[in-house]
Amino acid sequence: MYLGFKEIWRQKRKFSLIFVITLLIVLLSTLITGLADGLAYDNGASLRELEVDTFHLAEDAEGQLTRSFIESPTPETFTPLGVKPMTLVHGTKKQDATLFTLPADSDIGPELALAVGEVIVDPSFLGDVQIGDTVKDFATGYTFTIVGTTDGRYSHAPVIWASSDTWQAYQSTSGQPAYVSAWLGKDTSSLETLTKQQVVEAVPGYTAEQGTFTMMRGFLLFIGAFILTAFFYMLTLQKLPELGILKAIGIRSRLIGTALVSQVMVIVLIASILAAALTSIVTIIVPDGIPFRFDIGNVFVYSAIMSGLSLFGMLLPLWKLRKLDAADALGGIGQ
Amino acid sequence: MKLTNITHAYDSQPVLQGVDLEVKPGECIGIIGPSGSGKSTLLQILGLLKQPDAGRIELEGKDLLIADEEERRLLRLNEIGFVFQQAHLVPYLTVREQLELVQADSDSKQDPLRLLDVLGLSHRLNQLPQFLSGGERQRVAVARALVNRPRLILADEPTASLDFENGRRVMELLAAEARNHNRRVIVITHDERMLDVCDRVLLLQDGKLQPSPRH
Repeated sequence: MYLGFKEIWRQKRKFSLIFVITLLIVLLSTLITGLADGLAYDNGASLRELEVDTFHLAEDAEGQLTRSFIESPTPETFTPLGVKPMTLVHGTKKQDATLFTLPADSDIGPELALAVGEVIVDPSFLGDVQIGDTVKDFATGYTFTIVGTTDGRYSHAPVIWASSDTWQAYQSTSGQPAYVSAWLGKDTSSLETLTKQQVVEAVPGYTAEQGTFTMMRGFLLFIGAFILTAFFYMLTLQKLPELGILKAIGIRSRLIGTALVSQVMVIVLIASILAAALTSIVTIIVPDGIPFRFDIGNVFVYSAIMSGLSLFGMLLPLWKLRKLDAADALGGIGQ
Repeated sequence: MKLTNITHAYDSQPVLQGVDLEVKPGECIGIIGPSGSGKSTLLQILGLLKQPDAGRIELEGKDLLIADEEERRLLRLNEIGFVFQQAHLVPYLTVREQLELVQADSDSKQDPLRLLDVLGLSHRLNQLPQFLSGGERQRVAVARALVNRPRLILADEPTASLDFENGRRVMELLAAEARNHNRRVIVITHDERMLDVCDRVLLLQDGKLQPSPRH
């Protein structure tokens, strides 16, 4: 192994180049994944945070909460969830948000011991409006008072949470028949039963957005891994005469192989650790408007893929070394 | 060491056609021959890097050609020293480390520092090959070939990349190794000015070895 480390240490320029490319590929992969995960979270955070796995929606809603109107009374074994996208007005400023409601005594979502008309909002909703301000629903004129904050996003918009009492009061002013968007709970019902993941995936734009990112990640990994494989392949190919000489003078193949493997592992490992550190820094400095989430597990996955393919690229030419004729190894010495 | 009736062909084109050779301990033998006559092939067969089509190689009574791959590797490491046309040093190892690498897997207890001192390289111990002159590099290659105290030293055009003075020095070193340490040295060279250090000069022609008529 010391052979591999000595080569890295004494040929820093060559290995720095490989290291930087490896680092950039792993970093780019984690950054794209961070953005994809951030957007995924931004699209359905309020749903993901709910302490429930089973949703019952209207049959014709196609899994979308905002299209689900259940006018039947909610059975006692279920918890009613209200979801309503709206445009809220404060003075001359308008802002989109989604109203989520649960019974005040429910422990499925955030603490909602609020008076009728009171809401707690996602911090991103604050800016032009502050806690204590009132905002008015543009469609119905119903007024909400902001009394606190709680994290929650739905379909890339901030969520405002209220109790089911506020939901009923709001509906009485809208002139629509009373409804809820979903029943939450494990019991069977006559409605369409969906898992939380299915409901998240039905959020408008979610699947298309994640599909795009999945494709980007796939191409990035494929191209990145291909570049690294080619790089390490060329590196070994370049060293083949030197390795042939070592083999000719009786150095163990295992020593040569260990040197090559240790080089790949050290480069990919350090690049991955640095990529993880840099991604953590990005998580801190990224502006609030850009949803970004860092999952260390992704770094492990990408490192494993990069290590595997780099090893493949590096060890591929060793098949040649196994069968290497001395004349080839010794660099074209004539007969 | 004894070679008996060694034959070898490339794509049914015969190169060696019954080579016989006996090398005694302490003997330095020069082999000459026209290009393509099979000199390097013979050296590779002697160095257990290539299997001949037929024949027998004995070193102190042991048939080397029946050894398996691992045995051949150990023989190359411990019993045979190679010196090539180019030094072929590992570019990222210092002079001292070049020798330690070869010693690492062997039972050799020779002090590499003493050997490098004898070869006039003690002041270059921690230098990388890129900072050595051509002559120094080739002397390091000789040191690498000698460090495990091999019984057979094979040199393929060891002076080809050197000027006359440095080439002469390397040849004298090899001949001295044979005489002073009872080793067998076989040198292939095109440079006939170097052959006077050898005990015998053989000509490889038409696939057979014979005494050179001019030496």
